[in-house]
Amino acid sequence: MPYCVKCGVELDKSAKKCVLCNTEIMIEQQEGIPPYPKEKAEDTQMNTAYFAILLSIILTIPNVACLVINLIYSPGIYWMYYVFGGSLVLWMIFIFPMTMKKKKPLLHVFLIFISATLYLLLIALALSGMRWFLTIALPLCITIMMLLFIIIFIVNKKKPGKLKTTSISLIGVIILCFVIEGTVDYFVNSIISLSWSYIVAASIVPVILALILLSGNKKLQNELIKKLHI
Amino acid sequence: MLRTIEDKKQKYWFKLDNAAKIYPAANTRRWSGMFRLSVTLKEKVDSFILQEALAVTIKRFPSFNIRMRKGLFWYYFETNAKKRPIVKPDINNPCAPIKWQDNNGFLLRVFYYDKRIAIDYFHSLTDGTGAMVFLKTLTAQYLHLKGYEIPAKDGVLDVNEQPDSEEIEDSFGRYANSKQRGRASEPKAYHMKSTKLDDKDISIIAGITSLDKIKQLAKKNNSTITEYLAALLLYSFYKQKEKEGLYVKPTRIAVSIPVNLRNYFKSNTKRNFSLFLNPGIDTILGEFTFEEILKQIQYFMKANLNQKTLNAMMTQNVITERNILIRIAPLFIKNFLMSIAHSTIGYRPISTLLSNVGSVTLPCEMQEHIDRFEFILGAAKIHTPYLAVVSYNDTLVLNFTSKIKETDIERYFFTYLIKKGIPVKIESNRE
Repeated sequence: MPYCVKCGVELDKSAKKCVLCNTEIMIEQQEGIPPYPKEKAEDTQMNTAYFAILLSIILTIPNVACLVINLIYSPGIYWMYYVFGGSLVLWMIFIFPMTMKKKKPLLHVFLIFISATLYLLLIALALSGMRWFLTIALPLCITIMMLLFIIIFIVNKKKPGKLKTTSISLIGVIILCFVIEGTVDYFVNSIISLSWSYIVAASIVPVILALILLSGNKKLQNELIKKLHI
Repeated sequence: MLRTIEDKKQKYWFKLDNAAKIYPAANTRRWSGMFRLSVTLKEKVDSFILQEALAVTIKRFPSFNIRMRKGLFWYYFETNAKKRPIVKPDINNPCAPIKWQDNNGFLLRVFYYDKRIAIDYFHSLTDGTGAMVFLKTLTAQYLHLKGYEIPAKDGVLDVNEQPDSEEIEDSFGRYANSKQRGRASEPKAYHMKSTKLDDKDISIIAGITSLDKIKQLAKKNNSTITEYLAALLLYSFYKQKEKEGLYVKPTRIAVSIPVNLRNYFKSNTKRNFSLFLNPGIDTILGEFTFEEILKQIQYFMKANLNQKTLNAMMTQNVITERNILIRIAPLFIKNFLMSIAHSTIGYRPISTLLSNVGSVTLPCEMQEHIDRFEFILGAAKIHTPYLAVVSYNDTLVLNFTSKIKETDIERYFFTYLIKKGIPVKIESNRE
């Protein structure tokens, strides 16, 4: 009978290592029936890929219906763009993640960005609004995507904790405010003169500093939880 | 009720008992309230004979021969007499989640593996005591079909006799009549930090040891086996908490211990009739030795294990269920609220759980065919190991179940016994 040299427990004949401490068994393994078979119960989880296909079919129905109505009642005016683009964005946000076995947030964000940008481009083309698309919509989409990329990357790699994650997200909010004001200013007045985004930044920066200071001080955190708990 | 049972053509139905109601509401694709009892024979199990034995045995247990149905306000059980459960080869992950329509709608699954017969029960059906009677009767019937004569005594029921109506009684409803309700409020308990296993995996680590040696050890400390093992389990959690910080909140470490109410209220029910007591320690008070933890548990158990206190706790549960506002709420609203309550409030006051179904007694004629019994609890929704205990003759099996990668609690627990001079053999489904 094999024994674990570290834990002192006797092990099953079929065991390759001690399950308590992972120490490998040095003596030659003997023949023995393992305590449990290898087969596992069928996965009772719902087949999400199947569910995704079902939802996709359901989503296709209004699109086809709209296409038919569009072609019959208003040939020449293609308002179908809106329905189709909207459905694509919805599909990317809600149904696409169901098709993935592992979560891939960066890919998901990128695909949402592409579909949302395409949707806006379709609207711009339909309404001859390429100017607002190029000066407001596209820069905003790119900024939001880049910010989300950076935040997700940092959170995944560094695992900064709740307080620091909030700080990083708040920095993202400040940058987004600057970009929104800048692009809108440029679109309306053709020059960039920032004003209200400074106020947003001035209000948020102290919060960020406080959160960063707090994240390094466990004692202060406990004290605050104690004093402010609801 | 008895009349309807005898009338086999007519479907009978009954309400879920007080303890059973939470499990269908808390049931998800990833988690079901399951537990397993198994028996290891001295020879290989014949699956055909086992299937025959099961078909006969299940008819004798009207509260097991059922399927789950949905009403407008509550779930209910309805007879499943037309079909029968199918025995299957055992699996690596016992207590896997259950779906109402699987296994012909039966809420128990019977498995065989080499010399072992195992039954996974959905907890709404029964508790450890009722489940053990079913397993013993099934095993006796199996041996009977193999040609051995096994008398119906020591918890083995006669499959040819009519079931007694008391066997399917809701004993909570019969005894919960205390003027005093409720239990002392229990603060939030410590939950250990751990890494989750894959959804369909479960970690089972069994320690097989000598009942007599553990009994001697417990006796030395003037305690019962359950108290001693609960203290050792708490001490293992205490050692884990020491690593994570003794004074980091929450500081209470508590172990939930199911109490078989049949020992305090006369009942022959094969359905649920147990309650949980949650003794514990608070590390805010300072450092603890094993002996101090054991004393805390002993005092707690002595103070609470009496008819009056248990009745007050039982009454509180039953009163909640009888509240008119709760009763008239549609099932889907109840399900939603109860599942949230189960995941949050349910696990709030406990760090772990220890369930001891005690020492199994069998008719002499059966003993020569039986090697040992095992008891496995389904893993908790929170990430913590649970401990299930059962003994037969001199073999005591301590079974840890969890959904986590770390084995620090199990290691501390078993190496403590080794240091006390008690040999332990480990078996596991982990690779």
